Amino acid sequence: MGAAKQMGKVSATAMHDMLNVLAGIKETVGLMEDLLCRCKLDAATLQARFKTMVPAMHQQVAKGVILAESLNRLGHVVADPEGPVDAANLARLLVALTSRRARMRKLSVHVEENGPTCATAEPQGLLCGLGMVLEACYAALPPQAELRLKLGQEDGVGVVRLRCTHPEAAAALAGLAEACAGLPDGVTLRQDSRDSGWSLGFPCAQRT
Amino acid sequence: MKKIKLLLVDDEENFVKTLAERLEIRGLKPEVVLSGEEAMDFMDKSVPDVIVLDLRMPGIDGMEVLRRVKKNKPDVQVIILTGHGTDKDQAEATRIGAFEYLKKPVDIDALIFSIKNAFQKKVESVMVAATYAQAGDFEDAKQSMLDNGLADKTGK
Repeated sequence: MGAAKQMGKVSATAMHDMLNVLAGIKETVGLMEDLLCRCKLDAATLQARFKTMVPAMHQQVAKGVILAESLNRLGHVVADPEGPVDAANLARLLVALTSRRARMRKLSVHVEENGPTCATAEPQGLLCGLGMVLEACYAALPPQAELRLKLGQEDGVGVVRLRCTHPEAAAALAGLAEACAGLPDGVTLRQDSRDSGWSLGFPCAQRT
Repeated sequence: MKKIKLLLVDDEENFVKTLAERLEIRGLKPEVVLSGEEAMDFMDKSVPDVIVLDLRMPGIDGMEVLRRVKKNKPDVQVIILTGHGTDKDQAEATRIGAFEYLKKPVDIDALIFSIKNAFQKKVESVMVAATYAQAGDFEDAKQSMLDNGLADKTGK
């Protein structure tokens, strides 16, 4: 899957979230208008109602800003990377922007760093590869599963270790390699024999 | 408008409860549930005239709720209200029998217009079937009910 297709999927999910944020703001503003114009409420009651509605709107705006900023950062990383990109930050961006898909499946996803930070000079490859793997995991894992991504380096190669302790996770992810056929050049996926987890390998940026 | 039995189904609690209050201010009396599962449980106890239904929800999603409603309670009119607006979803929802497909954020007057039209469709369908039944045309009554989604093919 190319970077363009992956960005398309990520954008669509993020924009769905954004539309829900805007819908929430629209209805709250609309209700404030209704209370002012259509309802015969005294000033004290209006004030009390507005006191609960204003923070709710602030929350929605904050959520929208995070979404927009994340998508903006991801777009810049893919379109115009200025030097190596921190792999953990890229992974966090991707997880944040696909969080709705995880929520729909009642999954939680966490990104951790395991050892020295790894940067990649090929963010598109990591984006595509990790995007494919996340999508396959979201589709396969049972509800309430917790997926942990640990970023690190092994022998100069960047690694994302995927672990899930749900008792049905190993069986659910047995077909992960087939589901992720067509990974970008330089990106590899293998099952770890020690603990049935998976590892996604990607090229690290050369240290200068 | 209070006679319209209206059910709102959406997992975004703040959104759907605010929408419900705005609809109440305008004379409707909607019930609210926050998931597909709750919608199915609700309908075991009380059948609405019109459902306003989100598509993407955890667990049983809106498309599955629509399928089950159209199979088991075909006279209920369903309006899809979603932020997930693909042409494919719209075509599928229409094929299954959604009355209308609206996108968030929605204009409340447009939503109310749609709710009233959906209710009107249900009322007219019931009246047509009753007219046939009154005239003794039970076969025509039954066919009318089938054509307008007031009965399933088992004749219920």
